[in-house]
Amino acid sequence: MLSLRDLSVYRGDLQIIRHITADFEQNRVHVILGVNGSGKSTLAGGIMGIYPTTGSVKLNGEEISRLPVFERARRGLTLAFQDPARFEGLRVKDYLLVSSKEKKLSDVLDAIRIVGLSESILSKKMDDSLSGGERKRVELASVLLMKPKVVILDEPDSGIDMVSYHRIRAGIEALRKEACVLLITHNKELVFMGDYAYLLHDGRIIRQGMPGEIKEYFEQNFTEGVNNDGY
Amino acid sequence: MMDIENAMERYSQPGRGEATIFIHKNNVVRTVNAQGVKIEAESRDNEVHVNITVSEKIDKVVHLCFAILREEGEQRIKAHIKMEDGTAARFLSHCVFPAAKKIRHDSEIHVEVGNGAHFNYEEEHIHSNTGEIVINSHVIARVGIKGSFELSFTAKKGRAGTINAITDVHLLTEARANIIARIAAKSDDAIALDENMQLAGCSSKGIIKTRVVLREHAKSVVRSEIVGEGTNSRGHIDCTEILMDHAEARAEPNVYVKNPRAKLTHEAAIGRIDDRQITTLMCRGLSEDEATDIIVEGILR
Ligand SMILES: Nc1ncnc2c1ncn2[C@@H]1O[C@H](COP(=O)(O)OP(=O)(O)O)[C@@H](O)[C@H]1O
Ligand SMILES: [Mg+2]
Repeated sequence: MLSLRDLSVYRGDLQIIRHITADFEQNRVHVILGVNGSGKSTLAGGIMGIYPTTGSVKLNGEEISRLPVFERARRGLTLAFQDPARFEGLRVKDYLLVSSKEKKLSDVLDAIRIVGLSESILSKKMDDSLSGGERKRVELASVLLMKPKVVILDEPDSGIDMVSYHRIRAGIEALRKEACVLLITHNKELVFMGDYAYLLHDGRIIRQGMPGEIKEYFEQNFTEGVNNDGY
Repeated sequence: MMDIENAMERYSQPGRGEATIFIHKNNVVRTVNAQGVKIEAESRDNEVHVNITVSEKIDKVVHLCFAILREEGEQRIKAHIKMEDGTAARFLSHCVFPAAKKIRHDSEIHVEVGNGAHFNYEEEHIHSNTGEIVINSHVIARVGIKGSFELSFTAKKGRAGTINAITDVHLLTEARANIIARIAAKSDDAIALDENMQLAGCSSKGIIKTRVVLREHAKSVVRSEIVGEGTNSRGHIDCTEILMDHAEARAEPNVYVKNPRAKLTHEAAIGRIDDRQITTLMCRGLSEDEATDIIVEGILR
């Protein structure tokens, strides 16, 4: 589905992600766990084409590492942002309709139901009138609507309450049915949402394995002096 | 004349029993009075003089249409709108210059909003995409005790042209005013907005909001000033301008507080579209141009 070969990602002149090689498969949730600053968002942006990279990114066998962001999106790769952008004047409905593959309102209604939002959200503006939890759930609904082949979720659980958390979990399960999911998080409790887990540290994957194994290793090596928020 | 009247009807779309005035160049094409609204208009000395009096609360819209359907022409409008105490009305004004090659439209509108009266005026400009269009507009308003004044000026269809728009609003005790301009400029369009609000009365409140999107070689100067004189008066200036290509913009938000118990705030942001917004929409499969259009549409909504 998604293959990375010797992928490095740069922010400015700095090499943040260093020589990552990994394969991610369909109908699986791959958790990428790492403390803050380990390079998770940079990896996500590199795969999506937002930051410059070297090495190879293949989607279903096609080399996409030289394609602009929207061409990758049109081929079925997408990203739900950690801190989704605010848009003045743009209504949630418009945002979800442009995201939607079929541009059908019925699909939009299905997606907001999965993430537990009510229909009244559709007429709200994508500015500060949405709460943090609503913004994250709208973001998840928008990637659901794209019917992606590969989706990267960057900290979908950060800054939200328990109710939103359960809804986001439902959204991830819905995505797993159709897609290959990369779930990026600093929250070790989330590794059990995954079928397989990777530990990212200082721009490198330093360990990979079954979720329980990775969580244990993370607890032993990274939680000392670091609270659960990863700070 | 019939084809002109029909064309103006298509732009303005007045409903049955709605007060209407159509002016083409400096000719009065049609006036329709309605319950609670009296319109008088007369053409003299290359000017059209319009008097509108609202004498009750009306639910129906008052339609104004100022058009030049030819390629060239001039239009000068002098209007007085009187909202008697306790009345309310919503005006939809269409300024239509769809074939403009060389057009000039000057208007001076005096509005007197009585005590407890509510005045809402939406002016939409529909211009051609090319040609020389000069708009000089001046609105002078006085808003009575507990009255409200809402003015919106929209020019986003066709090229804006040269727009010089001045607004002077004076508010008495507990009066409210909201003025908003939404303009899309391109080519060598030149936009000059001069928006002034005087919060004279106690507890009066006002907002000046401006949204301008400039492309190519368009330029804008937006001067907004609120003067806080009344005790507990509150005012806010909110100006956002988006620049693309070689456009230039200057914003001068001024707040002048003359009473320590008045409070005025302002924000102005000028710059290109936020990269994060573009990137987000590109992750949903939109090209950069498609993303730009959607963001701009939102800002001008
Ligand atoms: N714009 C930038 N320019 C240079 N370095 C940056 C920039 N943004 C982030 N970084 C650095 O990249 C590293 C990884 O950041 P990031 O990918 O955001 O980590 P994470 O998402 O895991 O918290 C950090 O050390 C951070 O300081
Ligand atoms: Mg991050």
